Amino acid sequence: MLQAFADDHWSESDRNLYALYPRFATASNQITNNLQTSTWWMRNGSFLRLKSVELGYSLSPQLLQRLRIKSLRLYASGMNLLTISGFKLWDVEQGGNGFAYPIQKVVNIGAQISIN
Amino acid sequence: MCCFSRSSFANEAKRLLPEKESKQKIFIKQVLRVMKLTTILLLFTCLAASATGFSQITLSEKSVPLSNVLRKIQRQSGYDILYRYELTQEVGPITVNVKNVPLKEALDACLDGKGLDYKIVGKTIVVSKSEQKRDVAPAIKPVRKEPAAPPRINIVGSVKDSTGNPLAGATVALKGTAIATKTDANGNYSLSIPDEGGTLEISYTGYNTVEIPVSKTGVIDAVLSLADTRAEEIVITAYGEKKMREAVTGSVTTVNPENLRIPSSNLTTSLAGQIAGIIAYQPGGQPGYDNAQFFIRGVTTFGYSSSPLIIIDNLESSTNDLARLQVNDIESFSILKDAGATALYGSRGANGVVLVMTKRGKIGTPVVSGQFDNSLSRPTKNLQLADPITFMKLYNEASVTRDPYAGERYTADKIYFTQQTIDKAPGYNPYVYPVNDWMDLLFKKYTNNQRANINIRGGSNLAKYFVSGSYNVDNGILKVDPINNFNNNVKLNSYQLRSNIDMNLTKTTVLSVLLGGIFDQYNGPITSDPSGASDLWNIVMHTDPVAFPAYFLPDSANLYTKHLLFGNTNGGLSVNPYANLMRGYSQFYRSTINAQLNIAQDLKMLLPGLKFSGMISTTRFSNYSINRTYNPFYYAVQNYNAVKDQYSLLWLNNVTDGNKPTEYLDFSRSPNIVTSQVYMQGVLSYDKTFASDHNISAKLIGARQERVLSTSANGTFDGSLQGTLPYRNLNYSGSVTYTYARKYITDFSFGYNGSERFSEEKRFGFFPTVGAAWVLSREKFWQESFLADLISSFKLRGSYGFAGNDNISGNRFFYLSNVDLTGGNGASFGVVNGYSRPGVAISNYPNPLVTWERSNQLSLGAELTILKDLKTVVEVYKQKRDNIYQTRLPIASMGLETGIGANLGKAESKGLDLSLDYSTMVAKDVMIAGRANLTATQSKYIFNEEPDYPGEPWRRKTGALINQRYGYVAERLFVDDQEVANSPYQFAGTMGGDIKYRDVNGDGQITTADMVPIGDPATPQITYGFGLSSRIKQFDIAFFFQGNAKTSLFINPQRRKPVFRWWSTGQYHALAAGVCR
Repeated sequence: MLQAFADDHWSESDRNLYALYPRFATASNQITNNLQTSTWWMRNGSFLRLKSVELGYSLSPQLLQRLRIKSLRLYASGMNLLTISGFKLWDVEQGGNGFAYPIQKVVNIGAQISIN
Repeated sequence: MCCFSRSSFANEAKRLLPEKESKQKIFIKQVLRVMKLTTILLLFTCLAASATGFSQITLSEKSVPLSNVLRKIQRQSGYDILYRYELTQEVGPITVNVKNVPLKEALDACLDGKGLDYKIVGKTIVVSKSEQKRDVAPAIKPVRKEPAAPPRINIVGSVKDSTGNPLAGATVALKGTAIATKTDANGNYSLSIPDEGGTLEISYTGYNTVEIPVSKTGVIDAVLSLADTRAEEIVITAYGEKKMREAVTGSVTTVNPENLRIPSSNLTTSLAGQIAGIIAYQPGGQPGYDNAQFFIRGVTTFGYSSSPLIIIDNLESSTNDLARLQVNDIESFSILKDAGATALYGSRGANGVVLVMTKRGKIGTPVVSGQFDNSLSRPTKNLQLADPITFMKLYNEASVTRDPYAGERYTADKIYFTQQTIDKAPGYNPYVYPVNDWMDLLFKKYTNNQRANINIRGGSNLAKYFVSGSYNVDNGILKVDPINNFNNNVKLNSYQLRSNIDMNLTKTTVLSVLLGGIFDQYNGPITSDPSGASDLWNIVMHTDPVAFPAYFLPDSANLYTKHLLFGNTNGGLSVNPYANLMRGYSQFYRSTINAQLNIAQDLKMLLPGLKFSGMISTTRFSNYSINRTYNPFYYAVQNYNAVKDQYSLLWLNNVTDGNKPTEYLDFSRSPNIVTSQVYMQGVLSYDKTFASDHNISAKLIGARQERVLSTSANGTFDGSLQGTLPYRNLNYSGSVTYTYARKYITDFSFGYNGSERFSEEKRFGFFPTVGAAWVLSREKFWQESFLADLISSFKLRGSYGFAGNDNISGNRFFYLSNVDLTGGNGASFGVVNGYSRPGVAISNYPNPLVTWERSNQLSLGAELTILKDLKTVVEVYKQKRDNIYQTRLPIASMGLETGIGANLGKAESKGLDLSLDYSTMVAKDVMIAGRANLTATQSKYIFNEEPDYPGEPWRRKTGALINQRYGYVAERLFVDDQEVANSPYQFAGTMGGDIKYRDVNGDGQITTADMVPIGDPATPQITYGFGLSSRIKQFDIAFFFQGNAKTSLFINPQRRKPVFRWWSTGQYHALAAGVCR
C-alpha cells in the first residue's frame, strides 16, 4: 500500500470528505463505485525537469599534440536530476503507468577523443 | 570525366603502353581504372560526348579551371582528352584567348608554361606532367608561371581558435587562386603570394571561414570562431535535400544533433523540448522498453495511426531504429511538419516526418573519434510503501469498516510479534512473523551502464568513408539471487555498425553504399505484461508484506535441497514477488540490417542543373525471443513452537500436474518475427539560375516499397491468406520552386500515391500543396531603414495543401470480402446429430468506397534574426483531417457478422511552434548560447460517428479534445450512509466515505449518461524546453530544462486498490506457467 494512501484516507474516526483515498475495502466488488474513471483520480500531469546538465573540460592542444591526439574532452553529465511537479506519488512523466519500471536519473562521466 | 567511359579509348591506351616508359606508371593506373569503370559505366555511355570533326578551336576563357578548358577543346575537336584531374587543379585557373586555330595551337596556348605536356595518339590527347616540373617542393602549392611574374611577397602568421589555442592544419588560401598552404602544429603558416594584394581565406573544419585582406606588413593572424549554428542555417528537407533555410516555404525544423546528446542510450528520450514541433513523453524506464512516445504537432487524428513517419537515410525505419541511433553518427536531424514540407512523401507524411541523415565521409586524412561513457542510474522517484504494521492495522480497518462482522484478519498477536521481528526483540522469528520490504528485496538502489562509440571518417577525391561502431550496455535495477545460475536482471546489449561509403566513379557520378546493422540482445525478467515490460512493481504494490517470507533458509530437513525455498501462504497459493522475479528469464535477439545502394548522376552534359539519383535498398528485421522458467517450490511454516522457537517447513505445491515445481528451466518460444522490406526510389532534380535573379528548381520522384511480414507486428501469426501477401505502396511526387532575387519564393508540390488497400477507383490519391515565402530583409526599403539594424533577417512564409494517410485501420484490403467457409458455427443433423456441416465466417464485407484519410494543412511562419544573434522562428498552423475511417454505428446491430466502416470522422487541430536561439561571444574566450522551444497544440473532434444523445450534448465526442478521457465528475466523499441513501443512486454497495458523483443529466441516478469529457489528454498538449550553454576557455557548461503541460494523469483506480490482495490462486497458476497474457 502506498504510504500516501495510508496517511490520507477516509475513516470513520476521521471523516475527511476530501481525503486522498476514499473508504477502504478488501475486495474490488465492494468499491465498484470508487473504481470508476472520475475527476477524483485525475491529476495535473504538468512538470518541469532538469533534463540534462553537463560540465566539460577540453585538454589544451599543445599538450595533446605530443600524444598525437587532435582533441580530448572529459566531461560529467546528468539526466533527470531534478523534477518539479505537483504530483508526488511517482514520476509524473509516466502518467497513469506509475506502478512500472521507473524513469531513471543518471549521473555520467565520459570522454570524447579524436585522433588525426 | 565522361571520356573515361569510352571503351575504345581503353584499347587505344593499352597499345600505347610499351612505347612510353616514363609515363608507364601513370598509365597503368589509368588503364586499370578505365577498364574497371568501363564495365560499370556502360550504363552511362550515353552521357559521353560524341562530338566529331571540328579541327578549328575557338577559346575565350578568363580565369577558369584548366579542366573546363580541356573539356571545351574535347567538345570542339572531337578528340578524347585523358589527364589526371589533380594535375589540372595544381595549375589553377588559366586565361586563354584563341580564335579558329588548329588543335595543336590551342593546346599549346593552354598548357605552355604550366608544367604540362601533351601527346596526341590517334584520336586521343594525353596530358601529363612535363619533366622539368617534377621537383617543385610540395609544401607550397605550385604557382602558375607567368612570363613576367610580378614580385612576390611572403605572408606569415598564425591561426588560433577563439580560446587562443592554435589550430593545426587550417587552410590558408589566397582567394580566387590555387595558392594555399596549411598551418603547422603550432598554428603557424607562411605563404608566398604575388605582390598584387588580394584576400586571404582561412578555413578550418567546424569553424567559420574568415577572409582578411592582404596587408603590406606581411603578418596576418586569424582567430576562427566555432561554427556552432551552422547546422541550423542549412535545413534538410524531403529526400535528404540540403536547402538554405531561406529558400524553404514549408515548415522544417533542423536541430543540431549535439543538442540531442544526453547520457542515455535511447535517442527518443532526448527529443522532448529540443525541437519546436515535437510533443513527447516517456512512459517507462526499463531498458529495451523505454522508447518515448512522440508526435509531430501533437496527435492530430483519432484514426488508426498518429505516429510520424521516420526516415533514416531515405529509408522508412522503426522507432527502435531511431532509438538506437548514436548522436555521433548523425549528420542532420530534421522534422517536416506541414504539408509543404511533407508533400513529397505523399501518403506517408500526414502525421509529419522525422528525417535523419547519418554522417558521410569527408575528404582528408582519416580522423578517428571515440566517445566513452559510464553512467550511474537510479529511479527518479521510488514508490513509498506503508510499513507492515500500518498495513496490517489498515487492512483490519478495511475489513471492519465495510462489514462489522467480517472480523479482523491480523490478530493483535500477529501485529505484536511482527513488530518484534522489525525490532529484533524477544520472541521474534522472521519466518513465522515475516516482514518483507518488497521494494528492497527486489530492486537495487542503482545500476551501472556503459556506452562506447568509435568512428572513422576520411576520404580522397576518389572515395569518402564513414565507418562507425557502437556498443551500449544497459543494466536494470532488479536483484539477482546467487543460488540461481542465471541472470534475471535486465541487461540490454546493443551493438551497431554503420558504413557509409561514397565513390566518385566519374566527375559526375557518385556511387554510395550504405550498410547499417543494429543488434539488440536483451535479457530480462519473466513478465505477464503483454508489452514485455516488467510487471513486478504492480505485483509488489498488491502483495501482502507479512503473509509469508520471500524465501526460507534451509531447515534441517532441507539442507540438501538444490532449489530456493520460496515462501507462500498455506491454504491457497498467492503470488510471491520474489519468486516471480527469480523464477527465470526472458531473452530476445533483435536484429535490423539494411543495405542501400545509391547512385547519383549529374546530368549537366544533357542539361546544366539536371541531376538524377536512384536508390535501391533492403531491410531485414528479425526477432527471436525465448522464455526460460522454472516453477518455484513453495513452503510455509508449520508446527511452530514459540517456547522452543522451533518450526518445520511444509511443502505447499506438492503436485504432479503441469504446475509441478521444477529444479530445471523449461522453455517457451514465441514465433520468430521476420520482416523484409525492399524500397526503390528515383529522383530527377533540376536546379538552375537564369539571368542571375531567376532560380528554378524542380523535382520528380518515383518510389515503391514492399514489405513481407512473417507475423503481424505483435508476433502472432496472421493465419489468413491476406497476412502472407506483400504489403505495397507506390508514390509519385514532384515539386517546382521558383525564386526571384532570393526574395520571393513560390512553390508547388504534389504527391500522387497508390495504396493496395483501396479499390481501383479509390486507389490513387492526389495531394497538392502550394507555398510561398517573402524575404523582407532583402528588400531595399528594409535594408535602408532602421529595421535592418534591429532585425537583420526577416522572412515570412506560408503553405497550404493536402497530405494523405492510408494506415487507417488494421484491416488489409477494404475492397475484398474475407470469408472463411469453414470458420463459422456449424450445424449438426440427423437422429444422433451424426451429420455436421461447418458454418461460414465473415471477417470483411467488401467496401470499394473506402479511401485515403486526408489532412488539409495551413501553416504560416516567420523567421527573424533579431539584433544579429537571436534567431527566432514562430509558426502557427491549422490542420483539418477528414475521411477518418470509422466503423458505422447503426449497422452493428443489424445482424452483420462484422462491422462496416467508412471514411466518416473529421478532426481539427491548431497550434503554435516557437523556437529561439541565441549565441554570442561575450569576450575573447567566452561564448554563451541559449535556446528555447515551445510546441503547443490542441486537437478536437469535428465529426465522430456516434448517437445524437438528445438533451445530453456532453456525451458527444464531437467538439471534445482527441484522447480526452470520459468520466464522472467527483464532488467529494459521502459524509455517511444517510447521505448516500438521500442522493441519486450510484453503484451497488456505496457507503459513506465513497466518492459522490454529480448527476449531470439530473435523472436521479448516476449512469454512463453522466460521464463527461474530463481533464486534458494523456498526450501533453504543450512540450517546451530551454537551456543555456557556455564555453569559457577550456571549460564548457550546459544545462537544459524540459517540461510538459496541459496533460492529465489518472491514478488508475483499477490497478491501485490499496488494501486487498490482488492475486487469487487461479491467477497464480496461470502466471507460473508463463501463459497469462
